[in-house]
Amino acid sequence: MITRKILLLGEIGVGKTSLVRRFVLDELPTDYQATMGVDLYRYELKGLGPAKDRAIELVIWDTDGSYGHSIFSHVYAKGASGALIVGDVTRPTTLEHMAALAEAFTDAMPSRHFSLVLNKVDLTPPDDKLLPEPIRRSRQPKVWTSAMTAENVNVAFRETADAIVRREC
Amino acid sequence: MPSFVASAEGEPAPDQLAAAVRFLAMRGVCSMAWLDDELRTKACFGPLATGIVPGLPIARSVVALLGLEDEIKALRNTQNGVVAVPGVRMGSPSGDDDRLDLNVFWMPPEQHYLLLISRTSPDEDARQGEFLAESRLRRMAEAEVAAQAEIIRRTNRELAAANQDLEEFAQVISHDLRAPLRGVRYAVSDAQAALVSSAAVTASEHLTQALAHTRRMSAMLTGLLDYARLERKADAVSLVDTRTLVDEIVAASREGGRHEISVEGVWPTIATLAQPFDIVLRNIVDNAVKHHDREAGGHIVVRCVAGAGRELEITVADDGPGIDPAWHEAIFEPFKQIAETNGTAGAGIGLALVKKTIERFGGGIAVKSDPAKERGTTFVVRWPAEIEP
Repeated sequence: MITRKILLLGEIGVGKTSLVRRFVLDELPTDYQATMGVDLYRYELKGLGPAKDRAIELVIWDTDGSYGHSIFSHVYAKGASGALIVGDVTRPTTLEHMAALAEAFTDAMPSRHFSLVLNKVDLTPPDDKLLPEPIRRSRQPKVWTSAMTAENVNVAFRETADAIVRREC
Repeated sequence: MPSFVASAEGEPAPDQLAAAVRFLAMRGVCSMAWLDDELRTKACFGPLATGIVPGLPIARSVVALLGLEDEIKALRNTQNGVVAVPGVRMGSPSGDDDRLDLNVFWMPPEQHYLLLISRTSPDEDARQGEFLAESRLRRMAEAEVAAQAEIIRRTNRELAAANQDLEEFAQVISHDLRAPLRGVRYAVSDAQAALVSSAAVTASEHLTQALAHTRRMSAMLTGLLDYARLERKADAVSLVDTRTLVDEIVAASREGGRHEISVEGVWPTIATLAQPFDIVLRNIVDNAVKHHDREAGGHIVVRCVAGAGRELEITVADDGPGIDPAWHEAIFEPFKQIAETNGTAGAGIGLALVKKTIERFGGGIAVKSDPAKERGTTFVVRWPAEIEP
């Protein structure tokens, strides 16, 4: 089994920690507590790849949203195989920030996979019209999630893991 | 406790530093691991190194070093280099595990790497936490203020545009309303004169004219109301079957049966603002009919094709007298009307408002005509195939 590092990126308060804790620990989001530095989570996924016979251990780096674009020059981002870039559908500014992060990720880590995770759909239903033009037109996978209800949380991480495995097959 | 021996440069020798670290590890302040050339753990020591398994690559035990192997190996080629990964914590259900600082050094005398693991200083943690919390609050407040400011700016722009539109439209309407109003006055005056001289049939004809003028005024006022409703509201976007709509418009324009109007091309169903689309299409088709210089027998073709990008291209082509290129821009300006050859009065809503309506919703309009070469005029309208509320 391979072990690969992925990043959780996004503006402060978009729900990165809630997403990863829901995914790894199946834990309901609690009161907001900002992440300082970085929290690491490990999780094994099986049944990936074209033949559904590959496994991967993800090391998920839940980063501090304060870093913004500077995360890409920080040691935290080095060696990552992919990322989930998260936005909060109830806060348009976080979606704009998400678009900027996606562009910066493409520049800093070309050919690495990333998914666009649109979180908090329990508060605002999915609607493409909410999205800034660059996000709407992006060819990267878009996943509408809710850490509160767990909707699509597994899908978001699994798709990213699968994309990483397929690139290495 | 080992005592330091100063090197030639006045600094403690590396092996003595290692001894000092070992001393701190024994007291639980930090932990350490020695790594070979392949970054496999040779040995480890201290309470923070419990998960490290000798013999395995260090990144298997300390996943925070995963992906940094090349940077660590490159330390051999640098002097006093370090790979530092600060403030790392393993996520756990309790969430209260220690936050650790990881530092990897190359130790030339011993020809191995040294991983030093220490708790992030509580003071530093708290200080950084306080700083980050303030930074976060400031950034969130700034983002909120910026968002609100943008909303205000956008609203002001829309208000200014709306005010300008209404002002221009009021000018056009007041200008164009005068013609039919004058027509009513003259017709009624003539009818009155005819009645005085007992010419009832003539009076009736004048009153019929007066009625026609009032109908035109009514249509113009309807146009004013239509225009006033042009606001870009979310609930105004609906699915419009453009084929049905153009058939209705053409059927209305055919009344009187003077000219032949055909509809061609592919007319899709689109999500759009029905009323502005209707106004634009209706006016362009009416324009072609109204300003044709022949009493009857003219040909008008209304065609729709998918244009470049996400828009429709609608053309309305007639075989009328054409429009001199010198007028191609002016016809889209308020109050600018070409002298009519068939006695038709100026349009109520006018091409100026049609153009403004199209451009407001991201489309465009152009005219192709050169009477010096051939008869006919083609208006080309580009209308977005999808309008977002």
